[in-house]
Amino acid sequence: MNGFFRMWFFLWPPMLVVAFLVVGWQVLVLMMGVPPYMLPSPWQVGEALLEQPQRLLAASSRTAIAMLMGFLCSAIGGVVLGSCLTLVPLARRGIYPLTLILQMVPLVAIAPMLVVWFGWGIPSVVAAACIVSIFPVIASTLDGLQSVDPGLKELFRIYGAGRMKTWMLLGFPSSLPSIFTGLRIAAGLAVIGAIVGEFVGSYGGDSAPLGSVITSALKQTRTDVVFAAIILAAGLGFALFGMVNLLGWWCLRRWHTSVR
Amino acid sequence: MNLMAPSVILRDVVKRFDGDVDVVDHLNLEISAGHFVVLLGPTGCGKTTVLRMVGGLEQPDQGQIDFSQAVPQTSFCFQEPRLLPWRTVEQNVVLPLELAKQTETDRRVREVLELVGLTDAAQRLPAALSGGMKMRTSLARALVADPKLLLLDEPFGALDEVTRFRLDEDVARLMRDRETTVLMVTHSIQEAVFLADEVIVLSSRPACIVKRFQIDFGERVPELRATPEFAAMTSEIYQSLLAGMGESL
Repeated sequence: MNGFFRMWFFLWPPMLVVAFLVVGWQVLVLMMGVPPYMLPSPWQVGEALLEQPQRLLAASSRTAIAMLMGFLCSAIGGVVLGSCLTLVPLARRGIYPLTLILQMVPLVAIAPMLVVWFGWGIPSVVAAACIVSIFPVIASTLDGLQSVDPGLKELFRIYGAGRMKTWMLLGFPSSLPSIFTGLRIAAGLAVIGAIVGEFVGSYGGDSAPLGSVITSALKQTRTDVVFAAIILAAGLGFALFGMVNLLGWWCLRRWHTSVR
Repeated sequence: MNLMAPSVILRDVVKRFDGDVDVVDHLNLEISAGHFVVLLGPTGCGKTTVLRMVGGLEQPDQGQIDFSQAVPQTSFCFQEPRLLPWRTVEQNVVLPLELAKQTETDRRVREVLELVGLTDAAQRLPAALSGGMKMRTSLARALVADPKLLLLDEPFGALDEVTRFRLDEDVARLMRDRETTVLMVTHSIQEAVFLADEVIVLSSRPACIVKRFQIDFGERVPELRATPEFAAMTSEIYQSLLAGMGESL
């Protein structure tokens, strides 16, 4: 019961805000007589969700797979690249400024090229999710590794530890709090990347993911379906963020002040 | 003369910071094998710099540091415990052996934890330890690889007086039968007199030797601190310390 009350203590303020927003939205649409193609009411969005639950569920699972794969690529790639850039100072000076390109170039602009390079379907969507979410992981890994306590680094030097051993036993564990901050940001970005990737790189029809559902619903002015898909995409983002948070809590729970 | 422990000789050692600030000025010093030598001096006189040069963490600008052994097995114990917060006491202590790729480490770690009185805290994380226990862990880590040269940089400077006295007694007990040369830096005259075979008083910056004191009190037991001989030696060293700072009583 203690755990239940603790969870409730953290959950009720955002739930209350969401409830107010939904009720306000419903009242606003009814009172102002906004046509559904401009802004559907929450009730209509709920109906759209229940209208084709299997289709939306299948679309969500396809987007979830692409989002997860993109996120995993950016998590592993970001930590590896960030670590390599720290271990080789010349590479840091040469490559790190170039990684900023990943952050600066608008994804919408390069998404069509991803289809050219990786083909239609999941590969180009995964690439889009990875490209948009990898930079925070690289930056946070680099930041974490550069902020390792100099006293501890000196200790490892005294005991004759090589670069890899120092990374494994000191650099990586001590960078975990910073890396998890990057992963939390990357979790949200991976969903955005996957949806944008699906706008240009996915099949329609029965195997359509959420991004394709949104584009086809827009063409039919089914804004209620668009909102239903947006809510599901946001739900995926929340779920991934929650998983990263849970993993971060589990890894840091015993020693780091941020989760104790 | 202890054959296992190394002797250390500093010949005409000079150290400057930022190119022109002399920290150590033509220091000549011989530390006999197996001796416990304490460097005592005012704050900022360069004691820690001497220790770091002996430990190879800094290089002298002039002069040289020689050892009677090619590369003595050296351990450090710093002013702060420098423990890995995600590792338990036991895992922190085993670190030097792990980095040296030694196997069969369990027995050695158990022994050293017993020596410093941390057997019951072996599975605790540093965050759950008191300041004294953290320093004991740091000391255990320094001793686990059986060093021949132990460098102690004011290891108990941040602790309260009672804990500090107890840890001094632990160090005296641990070093009694070891074949280790110890070089320690401290601000505390009492600590220096209690632990050392020899106390070397250094002047204000740039550090040079004011006076060397041979301490021959035999076994270091807590009651030693209450003896007139201890008080007389403390007073004599204090006056020498003042002289090194250009002051007098």
